[in-house]
Amino acid sequence: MNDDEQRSLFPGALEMMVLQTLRLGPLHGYAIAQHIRQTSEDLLQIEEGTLYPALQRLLREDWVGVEWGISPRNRKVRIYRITAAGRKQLQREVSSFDRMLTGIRRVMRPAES
Amino acid sequence: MSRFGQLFRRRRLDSELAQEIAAHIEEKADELAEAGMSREKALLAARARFGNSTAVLEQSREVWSFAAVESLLRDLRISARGLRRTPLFTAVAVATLALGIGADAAIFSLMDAVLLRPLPFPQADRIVVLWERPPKTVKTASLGSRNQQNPASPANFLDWRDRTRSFDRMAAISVFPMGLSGFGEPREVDALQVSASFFRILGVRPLLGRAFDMSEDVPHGPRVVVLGFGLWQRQFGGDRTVIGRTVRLHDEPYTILGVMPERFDLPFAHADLLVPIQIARGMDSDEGRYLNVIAKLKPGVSMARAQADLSAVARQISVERPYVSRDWDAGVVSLYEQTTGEISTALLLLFGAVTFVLLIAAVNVANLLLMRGTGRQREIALRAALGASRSRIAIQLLAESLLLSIAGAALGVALAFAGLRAIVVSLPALALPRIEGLQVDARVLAFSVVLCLGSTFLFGLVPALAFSRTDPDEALKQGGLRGASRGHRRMRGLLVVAEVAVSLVLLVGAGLLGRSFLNQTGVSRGFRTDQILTMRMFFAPARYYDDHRRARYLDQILARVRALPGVAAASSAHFLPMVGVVSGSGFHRMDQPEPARARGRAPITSL
Repeated sequence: MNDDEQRSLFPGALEMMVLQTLRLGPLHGYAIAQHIRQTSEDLLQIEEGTLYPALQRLLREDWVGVEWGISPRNRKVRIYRITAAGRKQLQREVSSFDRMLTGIRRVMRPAES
Repeated sequence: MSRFGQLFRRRRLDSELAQEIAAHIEEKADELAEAGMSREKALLAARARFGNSTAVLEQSREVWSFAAVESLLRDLRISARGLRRTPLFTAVAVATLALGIGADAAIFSLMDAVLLRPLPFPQADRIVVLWERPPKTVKTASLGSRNQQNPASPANFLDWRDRTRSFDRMAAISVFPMGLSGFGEPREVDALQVSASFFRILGVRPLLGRAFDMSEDVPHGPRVVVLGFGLWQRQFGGDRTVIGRTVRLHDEPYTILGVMPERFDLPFAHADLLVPIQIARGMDSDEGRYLNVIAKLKPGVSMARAQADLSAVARQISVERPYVSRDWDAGVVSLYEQTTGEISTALLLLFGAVTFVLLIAAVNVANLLLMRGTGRQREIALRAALGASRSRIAIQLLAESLLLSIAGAALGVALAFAGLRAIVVSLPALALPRIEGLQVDARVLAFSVVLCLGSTFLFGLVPALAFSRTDPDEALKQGGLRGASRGHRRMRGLLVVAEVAVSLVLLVGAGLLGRSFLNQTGVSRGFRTDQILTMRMFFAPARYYDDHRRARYLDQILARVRALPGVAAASSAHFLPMVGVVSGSGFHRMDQPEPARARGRAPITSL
């Protein structure tokens, strides 16, 4: 595992982004990774493998559900969808994330205030 | 999905995850191939982007809690296999640990029996022992003199009992041998003369029959006796019909009232039987100090208050009877303190010493593990290269240590058990108070488990941390080179330093103890003890009430002893020198007037 890439995300960030992605509709693992990379315009280069432990954590907390399906490329894959509990969790995390960001910005730009 | 259900579907989860990961990499490769890469290159690139798939699988599995337990079980299995492959190493490590843990567990059970267990009496925290405190100028030879503990005289005991306000009950105890006859073989037994309140203070009831009561504990009261369990078994064969029968003590008939329960013993005195002490004011020689006194504090009375109360009475006495009690004080000591006081320091010291031994054992095993690990660096490097995280490797090495200490602890507890038997058998009775309660029980086992886990971390953590840091690249490149790296050599050096330091502490401690022991035994007595034999006998007061008769009989005995072949000289004394008991008598200068007599008897002068 590459430590540098791990360090670039705070704990729970990946899970938050996965939940946000699934809010748009059920997807399989590869598609989730694609979506995160594309929407971040390649700024977030996550090691794709780390997605799977994160998905297990979301499953464990019942924030996502899973079932077998067929991918657009015609492969047998597991398709994840967000649950009601997952949506609530996402709201909580986004608002605390916003607060955190605001706080960090204020600290980083003290000269402007 | 319940976790319990997950446990049974583990294999399915594993294969699902594996399939999912495979599909992910395939799709990635598809995408890259569509962009114009060759299929082979695309697959390699996809794998690189994905990362270590074994680690991903393992981390995913660890999300579910059973993974931790399962991997520990697997680690234990692997470790057991590894240890079996190196029997010599395993035997040495287990034996080392067994000695360390065994010694520690043995001493812990001693401490447990002697110090930690509550005294076997109800409300034992309210039971206290009372002593007279001689003034500093008086040198006493009694056993407790180091703690300013002198037995009490009957006169002072009666004043304490009647004038203090802090105690519910107070009982006097006097230990002395009596001749038992009229039932089987005549023998000398240890008799305790006690007040009737003795039984109430300690809260013990006889197993059979009854104890004597206040009405029987009066001067010239009935001659009654309560048998101890041991004597009842030995002398009377445990016969339940002995109650009401008569035995002869000091040649006088005593009626058996009851039998005490098994294991009843005072912490500071062993008793074959109990008889009423029957003291009263004005009796002969009531100012000699030979009584042990126990009492029960009134509920809510503090030790300090009881002490002040008793001291006040002692001050009155020293004014009223200065010829025998000038400047004497009195002290209150809790029964627990009395029982364990001096021995607790010794036991704690001993416990500290064996804990150091355990530390040395743990450091030794850590060293062994380090050396063994050096030989295994390639294996560890390979595991690291295959995706085992640092913590996984450390845990696996710790699992090995855990197995070693479990085996060591099991063997150690067995050793402790055998060792304790030996200790109990070799100790003279009453050398350690409450030793009869000694046993290897759940508490001792629990302590051993703690020791086992503690030592695992102690000796396992160092090698685990050392080797989990192994850099796979370097270790594999080193190839067959099996030399220890500089870091490991350094760590082993540190362990040896720690070991020598701890050993030194132990040795110095042992040396000091030995030195003070030598100092004590090396004290010159002023006479030679070799070739001297002693024996003890008691004259039944009923038959030898008169001094002349006693002296005549003693002369006859001495004459016959001197006539024995091999006997050079024979003599007699009231008390043997240096046995801790002395008798005193009063005197006064003939050229001065006789001091005021107390109740018409010869005065005694304190020196």
